[in-house]
Amino acid sequence: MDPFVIVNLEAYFNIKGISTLKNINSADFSGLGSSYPAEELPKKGVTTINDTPFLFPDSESIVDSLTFDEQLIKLPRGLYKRLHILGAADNGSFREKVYLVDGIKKSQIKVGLTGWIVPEPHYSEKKAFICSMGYSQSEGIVREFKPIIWHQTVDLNNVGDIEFLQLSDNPAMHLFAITLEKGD
Amino acid sequence: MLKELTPLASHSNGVDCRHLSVFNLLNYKQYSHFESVWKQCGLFYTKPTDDAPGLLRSKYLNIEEEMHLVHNIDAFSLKTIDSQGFINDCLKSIKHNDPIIVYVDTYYLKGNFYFQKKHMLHTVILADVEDDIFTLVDDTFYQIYQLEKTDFLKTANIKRDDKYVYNYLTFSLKNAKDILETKDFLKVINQNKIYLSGDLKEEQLQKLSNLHRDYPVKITGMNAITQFVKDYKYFETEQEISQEIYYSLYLSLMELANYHYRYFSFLKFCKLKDPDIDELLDLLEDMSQEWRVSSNMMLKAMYKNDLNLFKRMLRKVENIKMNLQLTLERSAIILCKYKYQGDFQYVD
Repeated sequence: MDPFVIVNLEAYFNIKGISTLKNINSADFSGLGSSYPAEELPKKGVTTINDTPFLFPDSESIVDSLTFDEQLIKLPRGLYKRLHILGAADNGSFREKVYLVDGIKKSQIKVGLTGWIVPEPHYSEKKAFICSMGYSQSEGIVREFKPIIWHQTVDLNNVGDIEFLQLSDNPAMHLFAITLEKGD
Repeated sequence: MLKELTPLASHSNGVDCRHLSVFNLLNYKQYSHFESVWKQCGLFYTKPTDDAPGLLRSKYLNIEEEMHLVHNIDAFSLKTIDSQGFINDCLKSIKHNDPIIVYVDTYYLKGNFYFQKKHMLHTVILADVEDDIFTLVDDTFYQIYQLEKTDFLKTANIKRDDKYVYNYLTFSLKNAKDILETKDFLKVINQNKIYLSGDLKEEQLQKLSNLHRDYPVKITGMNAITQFVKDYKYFETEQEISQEIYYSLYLSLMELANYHYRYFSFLKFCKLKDPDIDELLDLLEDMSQEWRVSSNMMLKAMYKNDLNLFKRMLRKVENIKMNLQLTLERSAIILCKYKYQGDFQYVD
């Protein structure tokens, strides 16, 4: 049985973090005008990273990722062993509270995401994608930094059935995709 | 060039140029616990007048006092208007293999990203002087500059209290403590608890006002947050907030974050296996981050002129009060548990 449950985050996307060379001004990952290069990232669809499948967003869409703004994300209700994340932070690295909600109970986990231009992980993430350059609305192509999308894995420690993820308020925390892994 | 004096390889959370320069200098002097030396953390609200909105601040000690507190490091901040005297001191420091930290203006710092773009007070370490070429180590930007004497004097001539001076820091580890004891950590927990709670004596308030000479300290502790949020609520109804306001909020909230991160880093050196210390560390890490997120919100609000981010910042700052209250309570529990009543009345 496939242990992975891919979550479609499209309904929660609130930001565009990936642009193309032809349209650099269309995206702003950092909040200060910089973005990932679409040319060096997967097209929309399922992509497998470290044996984990993710639904990579459509970089041609108006929005392609979400920043933490207290959203309540609906999940297929179930008992899960791990939460897998494709994401990154901007303007620093952060470990944020995320709540697992099952309708009655609410338990807390912490999700750490390293800065997108920080070369090594702060929170034991793996590197999912390393770009050779970034795009900047003011500077164009910037080769001085190499943006990374991190693969973070969080143990859910048998917290019970979960139905929602509730995020905290931190516009520097970005998610591109999440996948849940069922227990044995 | 002083042997092996190059920029530090990595940066931890919550550091500014001065923190990094001191870290590198102390590391060069083979002081092993260099990441623990910054530890003060208070909470005050400074306002130009009773009616005007102000800025939140955290500093209650000058650098000499902070380095001396429990670490017994002797730091000296020297200021002079005499350029030749300054150069002589620089040459002497290199000759004695005793590097100094020099304050500089980035606008005149050749090779820096902000050269001829922006005036910012910055610090570098003077690493060498040879044939009138001054070698400077910049830990913030991972750079090494080589400046001619005239360029060095230009960037090192900074404005302090309406006067142009040369300002540099020297350190002596002659009396420094290598290993901190439990009582040292308790002393800092106690002192920071006093300055975070805002329960200050008249002379402590007077000293704070001397330290923050730009704006007087009006309110301390938890009430500082309450008044800050109240003052800035007014701006929520504005169509637009000026770039200057966003920028000053960004800087002051970043200062709060850095002081909290430094206190957190200091406390991590405590070897006590105690769940209350662990709990205090968790609270401090959370608070540090909340201040940092608030500061980031102002940076982005400034860039996008986004009033919604301003409102989110006010909500976040208001919510920090809860963690602050828990931090004060946990500090009190720890001090009570170890019967800490002052410098020499501690029972292990």
